[in-house]
Amino acid sequence: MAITKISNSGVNGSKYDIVSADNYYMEPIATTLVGVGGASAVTFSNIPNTYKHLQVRGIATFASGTNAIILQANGDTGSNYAWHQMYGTGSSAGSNGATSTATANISVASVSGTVGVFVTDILDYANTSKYKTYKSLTGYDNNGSGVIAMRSVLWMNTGAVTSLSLKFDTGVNFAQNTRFSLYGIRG
Amino acid sequence: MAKTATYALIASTTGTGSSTTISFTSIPATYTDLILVLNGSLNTGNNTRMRFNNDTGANYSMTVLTGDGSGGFPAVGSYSDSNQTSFSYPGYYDSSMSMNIFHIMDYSNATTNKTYLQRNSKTSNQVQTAVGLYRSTSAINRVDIYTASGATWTTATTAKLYGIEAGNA
Repeated sequence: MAITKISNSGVNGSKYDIVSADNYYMEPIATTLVGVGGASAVTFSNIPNTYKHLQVRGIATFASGTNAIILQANGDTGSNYAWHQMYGTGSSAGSNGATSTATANISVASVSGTVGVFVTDILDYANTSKYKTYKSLTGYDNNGSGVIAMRSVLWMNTGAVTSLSLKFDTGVNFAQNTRFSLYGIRG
Repeated sequence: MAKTATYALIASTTGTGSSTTISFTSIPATYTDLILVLNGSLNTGNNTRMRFNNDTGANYSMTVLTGDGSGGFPAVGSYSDSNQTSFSYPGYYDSSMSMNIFHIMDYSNATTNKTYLQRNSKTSNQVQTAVGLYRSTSAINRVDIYTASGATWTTATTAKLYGIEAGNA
């Protein structure tokens, strides 16, 4: 049990000092740093239901191809996701989306030689009365080209999120120095 | 039990009314990501720039998505630049308050180039989001935001640098 309050109420004399015990509203839950062998997927399991929202922050490196990161909840690989985005490519801007799809991309599709980054919020993840919404800010830059996007994803399931799996939509491995970090936000 | 500091305030500063530059120096390497929140205005309209590690080389580039409902710029558009000697953001500021939030990812690693994500809201001008690349594998230990042509940050300007610490790997 976390200590959230310390008090000298009821204590005789001045033996004890009052200590401020901060309430941390954003707490790290877990981090995965991919090693030299690479990884086909990264999964955060046994996510506690004690927070209000989750945040996933990450950078991804890879050896080849053009790859976007999929975030699937509770092992759901079915066509139970929808997404929309606004994006800019450096030469044009646009928007698009998809419904009833298995590919819930939270990142843009980064090209080989670049690093793709994202910050994704999963709102009310433990609520069992509503579908779950992710919002994501993501992009990569390649010194004269790139993509920046704001995305939203819907997971059409009222179950609490207890695990999150990340992988590339192409099946390519995450390379060394890829990092994904999961945070809980209290509310 | 050791405290876990996430979204910890590293440093905070305000505009002086006479300074053209806001600086964060000696940034500790103990966090995973940085978040810089800049809310401010200038004494007169001016472009602003950002540099890391006081590096004046042509090592900066960006891809931007922008929206402006008042004409004079594409209503929704995108552009990119390359081989710049600084980031062209936070962008244009004037006497009305505007806000920028930068997520500088994996700033302290010495293996990869550095990438940041940004959102800004300029009340007199545009709403924008961008990704920036600093082509250096050096850890970032300094951030400078400065005006391009001598405009000064007002005393209403605040800039705060936060550290995000990841959990155990």
